[in-house]
Amino acid sequence: MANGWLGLNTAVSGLRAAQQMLDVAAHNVANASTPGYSRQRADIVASPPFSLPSFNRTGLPGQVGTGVTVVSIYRIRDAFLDGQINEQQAAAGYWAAREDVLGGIESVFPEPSGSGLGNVMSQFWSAWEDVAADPSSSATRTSVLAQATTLAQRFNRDAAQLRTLQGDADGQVRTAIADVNDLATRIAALNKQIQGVVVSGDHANDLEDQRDQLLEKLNEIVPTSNQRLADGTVEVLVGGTDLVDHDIVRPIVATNDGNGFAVPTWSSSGTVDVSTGRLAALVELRDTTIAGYIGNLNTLAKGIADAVNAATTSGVDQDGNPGLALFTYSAGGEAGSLAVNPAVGTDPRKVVAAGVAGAPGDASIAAQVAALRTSSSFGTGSQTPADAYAAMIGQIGTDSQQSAELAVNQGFVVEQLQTRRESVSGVSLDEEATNVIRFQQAYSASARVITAIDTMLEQLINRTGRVGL
Amino acid sequence: MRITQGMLTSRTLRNLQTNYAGLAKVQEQITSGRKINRPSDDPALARSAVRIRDSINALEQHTRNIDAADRVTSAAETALASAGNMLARVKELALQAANGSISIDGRNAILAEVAELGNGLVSLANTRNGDDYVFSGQQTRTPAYASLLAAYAGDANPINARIAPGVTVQVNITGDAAFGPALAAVGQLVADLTAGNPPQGATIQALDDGFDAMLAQRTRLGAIVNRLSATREFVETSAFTATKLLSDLEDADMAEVISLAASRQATYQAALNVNAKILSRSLVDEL
Repeated sequence: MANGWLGLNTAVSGLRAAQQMLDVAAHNVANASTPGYSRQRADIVASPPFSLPSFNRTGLPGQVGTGVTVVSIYRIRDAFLDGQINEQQAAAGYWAAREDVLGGIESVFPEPSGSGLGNVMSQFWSAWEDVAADPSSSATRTSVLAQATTLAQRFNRDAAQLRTLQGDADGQVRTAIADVNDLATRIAALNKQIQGVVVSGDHANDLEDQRDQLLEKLNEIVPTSNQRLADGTVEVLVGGTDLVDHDIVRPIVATNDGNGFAVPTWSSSGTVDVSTGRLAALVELRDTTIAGYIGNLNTLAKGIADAVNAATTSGVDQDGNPGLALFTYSAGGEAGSLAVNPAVGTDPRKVVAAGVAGAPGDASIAAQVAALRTSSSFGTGSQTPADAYAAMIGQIGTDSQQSAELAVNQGFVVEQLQTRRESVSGVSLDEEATNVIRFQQAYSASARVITAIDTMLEQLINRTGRVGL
Repeated sequence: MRITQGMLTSRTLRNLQTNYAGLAKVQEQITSGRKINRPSDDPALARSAVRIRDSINALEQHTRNIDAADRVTSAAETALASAGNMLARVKELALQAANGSISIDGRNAILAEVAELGNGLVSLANTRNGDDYVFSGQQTRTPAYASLLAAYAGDANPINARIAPGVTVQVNITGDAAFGPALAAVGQLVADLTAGNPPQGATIQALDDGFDAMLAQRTRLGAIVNRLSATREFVETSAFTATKLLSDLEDADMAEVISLAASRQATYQAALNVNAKILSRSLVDEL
């Protein structure tokens, strides 16, 4: 028989291993609802066996085990799923940002209802029809001026609100850039810590969980490609350029364009080339989508102002003076600057209804303006004012609807993947409870073995050779 | 697949959210009474609704325009009806005066009545709708005739009304066509009688011609009135149809939405009940 002390050591290694596995289980249970946490396992192997010494090994059989060793504690994680999730997070971030901003744009245009710009335009044309029906009445003329003012103010208001939303989007671009840099800094810091752990031969489970979670957040803003290096660090590339390399961060800075809007640029040089993720969505919304709507509104405002002015300046006012333009605007910001010509002001006699002087019943110009309602020369050049406006509303509705649907779908894709990851990495309380019982029993069993050996030794030491005493 | 508590809770939360969002949607439709509450609810429909609302506005405006045209034509029609009666009386008096056996006094009495009728005709020719002279063409602030013998002070230009999409109709008739020949004939009659002569044959003829001219204009006016009332019917029907269409497009079908709400509520309730039972248990409770 081998040394009696060997069994004692073996049993102690069982105690230690059971205790350590119980610790891991306790850690798992404690972190069952920690976001980004991956369940951990103790990797246990049987300790190197002990060959009993002898010259030719004939007398005693085989190797005797020496117990159990915890080799490492590792996390259960599927890197492939992480890659997929990161990729889908970028698209999810893109569509969620669009949904958010476009929802705000929709509330600028309360359609379909009787209170939007469409209705104000309608009433403007109707006011002209009333003048056409009764050109010498000062009541109808006053009403035209009131409706013209309402129309101009409505264009101003809608344009101003779109500009505000554009400004908000710009603010969000700046926030997104700051978020990217913040995340990059934290990832770089974790890289350094993880490197220290990995170099010493351990797994930096909890730190890696944190880093993976930061990477996922980062991907929602900008799509990245990540390279896991042998020293445990992750190299993060955005659009092919290094954002994080070991513990070094190359931050993205916001440079201003001609409109004072932030352009994401690398601190060294070159714009950040990304087409998905929240940052790209916000830049696109600001520079293309909202700018496009403002452009549509400008085209419509300019079209109406020009057509009405062309008519009024070809006629005469109620005093027979050459007609004045009804509207003024400044080029480039037509909708925002549309106003009733101050020279017309609130003087109903300056409203141009007649084509020639000296005919108070002549309403040819008023009729001409009223007929603009059905004139197909607005918007794209072949739309009535109502069509042009309706097309714009349709576009906003389509954009918003598409974004909302895709945001939901993309959210679903991400969630499916996260569920799969949760299936792999998540903590199951049932499983941990079972393990706890297992480890508890293993611990008890090892303790029992020690008691047994203790009894045997006692037998040997205290009782042996005392026959008859 | 390995199922964990985390999966169950996040899936539960998501499904509850989806159910609740569906419930919120029908709730919005029920409380607003509208199928679409923002363009993205149905972009194509929102687009149609904007256009239909504009055409309803236009059609309602056309109805108002027809109302305004009606006021012009009915003022003119009333004036022409009275003028016809007056002219018939003038003709009767002219024929009496032409009778050789009539006394000087009798003829003077006739002269006085004819002169009065002439003034009556002039004031009918200067009929106003509101502040506007209806028989003065576009010279709506100028009386058509200052006196029986005055020249026509208006012009021959039309007063047009936009009565239907793309349809414009002239609603006035001018004083020189309707009253000109009659007033001239009455003036001639007054001149004949003032000179102490019986009316000339040409004067009697002119009175007939004046009556015919007025009748012709009255007929024309009648045609305009008919056209206005036919168009009104068309415009009002179109407006009604368009309003109905808009309501069909925009308004929620209450029966449908309410039953949808009931079924979604049941789903939501069931989900809440089941989740409350499942999520609260794990192996830990049994050990």
